[in-house]
Amino acid sequence: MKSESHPHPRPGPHPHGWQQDDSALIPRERSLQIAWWIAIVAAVVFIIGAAIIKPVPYREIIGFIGDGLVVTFQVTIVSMTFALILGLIAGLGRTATNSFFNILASLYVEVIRGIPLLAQLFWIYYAMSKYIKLGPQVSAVLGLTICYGAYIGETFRGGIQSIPKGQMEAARALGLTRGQAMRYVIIPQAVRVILPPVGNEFIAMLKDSSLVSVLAISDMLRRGREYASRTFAYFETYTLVALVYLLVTLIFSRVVFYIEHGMSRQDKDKPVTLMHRLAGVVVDLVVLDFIGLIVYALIQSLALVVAELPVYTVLLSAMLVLGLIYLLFFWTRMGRTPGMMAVGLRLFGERDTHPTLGQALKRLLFLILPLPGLSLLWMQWSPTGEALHDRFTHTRVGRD
Amino acid sequence: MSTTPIVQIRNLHKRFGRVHALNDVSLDVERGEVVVIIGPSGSGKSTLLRCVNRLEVPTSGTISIDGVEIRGDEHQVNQMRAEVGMVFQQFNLFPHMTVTENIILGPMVVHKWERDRAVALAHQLLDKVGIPEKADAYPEQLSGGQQQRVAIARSLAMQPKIMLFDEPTSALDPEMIKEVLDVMLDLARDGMTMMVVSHEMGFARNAARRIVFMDQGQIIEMTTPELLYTAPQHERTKRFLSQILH
Repeated sequence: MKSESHPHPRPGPHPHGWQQDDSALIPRERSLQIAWWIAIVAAVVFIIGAAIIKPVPYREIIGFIGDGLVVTFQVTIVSMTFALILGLIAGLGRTATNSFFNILASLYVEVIRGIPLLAQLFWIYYAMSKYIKLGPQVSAVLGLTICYGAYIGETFRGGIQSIPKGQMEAARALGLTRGQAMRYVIIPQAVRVILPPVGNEFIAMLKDSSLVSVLAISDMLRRGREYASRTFAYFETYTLVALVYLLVTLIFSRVVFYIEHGMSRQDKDKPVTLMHRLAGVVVDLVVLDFIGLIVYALIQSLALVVAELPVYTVLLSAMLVLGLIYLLFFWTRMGRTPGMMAVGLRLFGERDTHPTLGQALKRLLFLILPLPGLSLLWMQWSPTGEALHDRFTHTRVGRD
Repeated sequence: MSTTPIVQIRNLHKRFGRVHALNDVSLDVERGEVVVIIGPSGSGKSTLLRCVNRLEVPTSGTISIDGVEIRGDEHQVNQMRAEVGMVFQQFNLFPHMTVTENIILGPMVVHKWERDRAVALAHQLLDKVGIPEKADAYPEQLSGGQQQRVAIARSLAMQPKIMLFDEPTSALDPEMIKEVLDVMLDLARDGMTMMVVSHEMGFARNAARRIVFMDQGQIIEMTTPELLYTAPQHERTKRFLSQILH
């Protein structure tokens, strides 16, 4: 209980857990902004300039490591999907009142955070092979998932615990069960707190995924190494590899930046910029893509059992249905999707937070319907016409 | 049945580690009665209130609501909480929901009401607490007094048999206290059973049939507000009143 001698209408942490003293942050923020622009312009100019001026190694390298970039994304997105699920379980376990689950989750977090990712990858791929032989892809995804699940679990725990205790009490006092209170009151608030750090974890994983190159997976770093060892153009190759990583990271860090700032923008008077809207849509796309990927994995395993199944028809319709459920759920409950909720905006500028079914459908048709499978289609698309699982590990040198 | 007290507290003890927050408290609250509880900070008055809807689990003793003894059973506790409204010092509105969404959450999730029905009730309750124009506002856009009135409406939406108020005006700026007390007075006149932890003397005099003075986890004195304020019997009551009344 707060001291009674100091009455204040709104004590305690900011309701959105996002209080920032803007005035204190402006100088640092501005220099960061300038640094971001310098870095991204320099990286783009160097990559394009080098490809034009010295096409012989550079353009060839770009074509060569391009494949690897796709694999890097694939590894990252698949691992992140599973890491989010594992992280949610770990985070809920760390906040559980049941001491068994709590200790179990804490043990997982403590052990995994104490072992370097590279050592974990070696252990899973080489050491475990004494008992179970796992393929390089499975090992890579498993290693990244287990490692990042622990970090993301801590992020989730922090987010859930940042919500004032009074919120749970108020919900319980209404007669909600603990689960209902979590679902309607705690988690929706925690999501806003959690999204930016999870975005940063995504960026970190994108970089750390370069470690899986030691497992003979043709990610960008591995492809660079293959090219360099053939041509001995070490300087050119690794410079480009580094710059492409930098470019990708800079772009994603900007998305996270906008998500973060969209959220402190809770006061509805301030205008929402186009960039905020885009950031919201990007978050929605990523979430939908995750859903699509999970469905994809399920259907692939199903297709192995029922070989005659018209896989892609089933796949697309299932994804359509899931996307629909996802959007209807959020839109009818909260009037906005998580991504747009995160950046605190209403894409259609409608004040109505409880759209009718018709309105919800209209919004849905406008935006999301064609999108869930984008990354899937992109994964299926292959310049050389190879199937995904072949390309995932190919170590072929050079392009035909 | 209707003659039994709606709240029966018998020999209630609550310990937090070595602290004996409630020491053998027994109290009956009749239907339609308003009981005000006062006492120095740390006297156990909030703990008593929180034990009634089991936000704190009593160490020993029994509490019966409407003739039913409340044990630990999760389902029974949730059912009881739906019938016992609670208003907190810090309002505890859900900041990610509009005022209307705050109010309809309970009826929709716990009572499984249709949205339209819940929204209609919400508008009715917002009229009652005097802020119908704030239906679509977010809590952070409201003053403290308005937030507390929304919190009252949110509790009333569950159509409770009893309302618990835990220092409802202590976190408010002075000019906002009256608007909240007026809503509470209205409720009392409508015959709502209320247990109120508050040092607002005006409210106690106008609404309460009984006033309870607590100190060190015990009920020291229980009488009418008039008698307590003018002729306190116990030394501790006198000392406390002299401190809050100047």
